[in-house]
Amino acid sequence: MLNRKTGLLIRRCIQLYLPLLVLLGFVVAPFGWALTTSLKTGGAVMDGTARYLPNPATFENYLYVWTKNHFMTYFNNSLFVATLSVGFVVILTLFNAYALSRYPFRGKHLFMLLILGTQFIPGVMLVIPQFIMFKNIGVINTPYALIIAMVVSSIPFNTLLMKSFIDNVPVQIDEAAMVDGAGRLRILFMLIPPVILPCLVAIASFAFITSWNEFLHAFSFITDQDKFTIPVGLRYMIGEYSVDFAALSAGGLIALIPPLLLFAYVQKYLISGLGAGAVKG
Amino acid sequence: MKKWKGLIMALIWLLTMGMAAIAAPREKPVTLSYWGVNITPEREAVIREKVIAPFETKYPQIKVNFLGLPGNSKDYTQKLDMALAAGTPPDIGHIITESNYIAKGDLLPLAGYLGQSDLKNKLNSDFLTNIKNLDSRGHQLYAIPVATNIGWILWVRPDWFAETGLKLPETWDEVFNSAKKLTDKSKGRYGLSIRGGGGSAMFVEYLMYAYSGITEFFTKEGKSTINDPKHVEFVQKYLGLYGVATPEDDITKNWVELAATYQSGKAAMIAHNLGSAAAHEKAFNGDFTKFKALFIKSQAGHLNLPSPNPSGLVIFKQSKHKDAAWKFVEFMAAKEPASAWAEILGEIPVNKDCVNDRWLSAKPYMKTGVEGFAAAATRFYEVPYYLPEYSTIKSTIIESNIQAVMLKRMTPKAMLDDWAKRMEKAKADFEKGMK
Repeated sequence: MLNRKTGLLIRRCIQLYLPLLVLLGFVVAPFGWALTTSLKTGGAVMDGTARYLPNPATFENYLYVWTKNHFMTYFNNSLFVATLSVGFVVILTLFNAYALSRYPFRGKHLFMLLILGTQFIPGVMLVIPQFIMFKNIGVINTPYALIIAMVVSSIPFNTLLMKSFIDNVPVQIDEAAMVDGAGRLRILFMLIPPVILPCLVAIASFAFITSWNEFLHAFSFITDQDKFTIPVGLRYMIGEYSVDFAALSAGGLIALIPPLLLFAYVQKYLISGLGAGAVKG
Repeated sequence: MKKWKGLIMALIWLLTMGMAAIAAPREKPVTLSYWGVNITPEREAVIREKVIAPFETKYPQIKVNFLGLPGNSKDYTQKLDMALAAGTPPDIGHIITESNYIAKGDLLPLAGYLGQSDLKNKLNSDFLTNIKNLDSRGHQLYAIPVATNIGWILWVRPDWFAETGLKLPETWDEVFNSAKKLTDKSKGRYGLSIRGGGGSAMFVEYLMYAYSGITEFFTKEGKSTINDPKHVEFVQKYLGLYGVATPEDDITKNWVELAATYQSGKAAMIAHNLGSAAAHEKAFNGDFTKFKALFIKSQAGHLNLPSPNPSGLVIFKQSKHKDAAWKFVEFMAAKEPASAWAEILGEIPVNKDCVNDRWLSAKPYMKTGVEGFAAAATRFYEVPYYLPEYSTIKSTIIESNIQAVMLKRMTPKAMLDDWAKRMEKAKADFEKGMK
């Protein structure tokens, strides 16, 4: 006869752990397959038999992608663009959202509608006008064109998202800080961010991912091969008549490392603070 | 006296140097921008090492800033369009059957440059005529061809044929019968794989004309030969093999999936071109007993190939260094660079000096391709690349009709009649616009 504890454990296994294991399998399987493919030699990739453990395994695809395909250059470019983009997105969004949340002004609702309206325009329609504008201001073929395009496209939605978080922060906190002598900037940068930390982390993370994966602007605005980013670099693996699946898998896994590390670090911030109160007493 | 002698000598020397400085035209260093299409790391290495490096050695005052663009020709065209709209195109680019750049006046005519170059007697005049036909009004030459694609070739698994005791097909009926005999669904093996996804219309067209041997796309009366009864017969037999001797997922296959089907040992035959030879060689580890290229003659008895697609190097009118750009184009179309470029592409160099290059006969598939292409008996049917809607009709309408035929929702005759009607209208509209 099973005791109560064992029964609970079995029930937990069946109702929770087993479905999670199945889901984990679905999520991890493509990465596992990419890892296996990245360790195969050229001919072994197209071998009709599915091999989960390549034999012989080789790291030559990683070396090939990192050296011959200039992946180190593209990686550095992507890191530069993504890091700066995140910084600008977070700061500018904080300004916008705080202003919309705290300041009443004429035309505020229309302004918010216009912000929302910009999201209905497909990005690809703006590429040519943006190209001409960037060329005229002299930032074409520089990473700054990518940063500006990324920041401008991310701010509207993130502003509305952050505004709703700041709306939930009682205005009494601002007032209490002002009574203590804090100015607006001090409130904006030192008081509000810790309270809306999950929102800030979410916006920063998704801004990073969006910038990291961005292909169209990088391909369109850059005309020097040394300034391309990772998504364009990966495209070199897809030829006119052939796809180098092994190198593509290796490149894809290398490209995956920063977002993976980022999410591994920030997930606790995303989960925590969901029910935290901001005002005590 | 000695003092005056020295002074006079110094004055003469200074005068001489000054005159030499004025007389000798000072060549300003020039940097050209060249955008390459469909570039991979291997192709980039060839361009940099075998074209740009020797060019810069020959012309030390000219530097070439090469931008190799990955992806396909649509991506390339999109980027080029953007650069042209902003007034920043490269000095040198490529066109592949694109006549709209000519129509918009973006390209520099090159006949004048070619006329004064040693290259003029080295390029096959048929290729030059093909390119001139892209300019439907003036028939001017706007591109210099470097290498040409054969159009189609049949890749087969000779080991499968040997296993089943079949001989390699020499006629189209043998192809269709072999496809059925080589199919063993229980082992996951199919005799044929058909490209039913993107690019399907191009190969159905190539193979129809390869079957019939018809060399005109339009008759003198302006009727399209696309729906000739022999083409209907071919489509019935070829697309009729779908699901019988082909995998069912052929319905959506583009080139990548078709290659994977062949290379992973699922299909005994696929139709593509020599451009994929390097990929097959890598996949089969260079074992020529496992992959082979064949041509199949038409019912009329001759090998029938599509006329070579007009593609080549172009100089944009907005270039500020046209003469230097021409030097690069001329250099790249010369024997050694053209041969190196054609070899990495899996194409045939257009320069006649390359005809005896060893690599053209070193690999069995290249030997087959070159012999078939250059044979006196080989015929070429005139593909109407000059029609602006030629490619659009195929990609937007015909490809989905081909899928309908494969799924038995449309008859081959209805599909080909519709295709012919659209081509005739496109030709009529084009001729009307020319008047």
